[in-house]
Amino acid sequence: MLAPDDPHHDQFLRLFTANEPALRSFVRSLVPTLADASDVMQEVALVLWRRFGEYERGEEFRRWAFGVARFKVLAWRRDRARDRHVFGDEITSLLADEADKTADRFEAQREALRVCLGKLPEEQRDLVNSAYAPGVRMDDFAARSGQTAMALYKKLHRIRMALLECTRRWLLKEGLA
Amino acid sequence: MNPPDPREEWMQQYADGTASAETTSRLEAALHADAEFRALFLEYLNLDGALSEAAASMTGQPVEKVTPFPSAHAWHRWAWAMAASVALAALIGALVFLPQASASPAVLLRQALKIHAASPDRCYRVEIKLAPALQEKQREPSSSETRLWTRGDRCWIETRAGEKSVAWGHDEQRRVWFALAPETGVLFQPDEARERMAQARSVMSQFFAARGMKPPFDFAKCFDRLALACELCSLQVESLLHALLDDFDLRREPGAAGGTLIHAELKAGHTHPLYREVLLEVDAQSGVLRRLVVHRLHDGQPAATVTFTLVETSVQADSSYTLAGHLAPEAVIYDRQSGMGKRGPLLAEFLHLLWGESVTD
Repeated sequence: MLAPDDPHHDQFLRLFTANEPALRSFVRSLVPTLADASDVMQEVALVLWRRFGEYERGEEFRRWAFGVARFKVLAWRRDRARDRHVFGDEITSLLADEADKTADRFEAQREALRVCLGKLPEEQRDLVNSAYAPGVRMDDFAARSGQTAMALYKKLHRIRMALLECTRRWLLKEGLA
Repeated sequence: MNPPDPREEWMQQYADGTASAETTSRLEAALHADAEFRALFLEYLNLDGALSEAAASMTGQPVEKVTPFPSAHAWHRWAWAMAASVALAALIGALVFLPQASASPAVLLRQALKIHAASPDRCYRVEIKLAPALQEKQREPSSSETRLWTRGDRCWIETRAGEKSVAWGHDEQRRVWFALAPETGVLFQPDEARERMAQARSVMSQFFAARGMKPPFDFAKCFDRLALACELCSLQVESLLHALLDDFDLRREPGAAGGTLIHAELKAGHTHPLYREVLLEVDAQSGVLRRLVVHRLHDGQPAATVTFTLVETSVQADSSYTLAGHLAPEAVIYDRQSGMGKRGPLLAEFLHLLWGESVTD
């Protein structure tokens, strides 16, 4: 493991910080929930930190990090081999391959999302921000807002699909599609 | 107008964590079958993650889902791993830039709680002084050295006696585990001790007595001692501090160089199953718990005074808090299914290491 005063320490932080959104998105695409993604990301971040000494300078950091993340996702999945709410190895590997290939596009999509969020009606934007705020439980939030959790999920889904369409249009317009 | 695509609903339920096993299975099949749908699915989840990031940045709260330190445990490790970096200094500084001289004991304990939650793993040396009533029944562990690692409310324990050592603890399901060697692990369910004690007293004792034989070891004594060891050596820091804040009168005491002593005593009319009185020493600079002197109860009676002294701070693997973390991949784990035939002698060996006396005595 790197000591904090190791000269590579700063390099690691720089590389990790630059690639963390892509890495998180990659992990998120392979596990069922945001909370699962958080759990896996903990492990990924720790392993990257510990094994940064093995990372060959010049190698693309994102590729190396994605490799570690894929391994961690598969390990996480195998720990839940009997959980029928989790995908199997084969589809996980297939999704990992495709998420890896589309990482640049996803990065652009995240940029586009900022623009598209700004275009959302205020009420919908508030709903998204409230529902996605750290630590929010959907059932609590639903109770507070006088709706059922199911109704809220449906609303959020419609907003996500609208945002998805908006990001696609933006990417097309910017020549990034 | 096209009817809604059911796959979108499955995708939504999956992303929200509400998909049933059946829905997950259908979604998986649909993803296998259709590359275009896979692309949509990946896009959708990318958006989901990005929305979480956007919402977190709006609230200005710690970004639970966005940083590489999303949950307490990883965050702890990271914070420590970068202990020399400005981030941790700022964090600890923010938490502990406390006017200790004037802060109330409750404020200091709340700060200690936050710092414990936002810190790496800590190791405390454990020293046990049995209460007189227990001394009659139980020898004190004199020849062994016990250290306890803690993170959040979890702990695991390492006991060394001479060349031998054992890692042990209990997991979130309250199962007691120990690893005498990397190839051998033993697991007990929480209800087994009581169950086995009764069994040992009735069946096993009769079995050996009827044959005029001395039991190979005293099952009942084994389980008594296992339960006692767990109770005395364990330390769930967060639960303890919450209990002290809720049910104990707190007062400052003079005497700790570079720290603050806080004495906690049960409030009148309050009860607690585990603690009668606790003395805590909080470091003035870091706000960390340096020492805890815990007056333990067992079956409602004073059992022991257990002193936990901070000896080390470092990062432990998540797995170290589990039995698997102390075993080789090919290790054998003896559990309820294995019966007592295998576990009995291992339990006796474990207790011998712990208490320094034979349970066959």
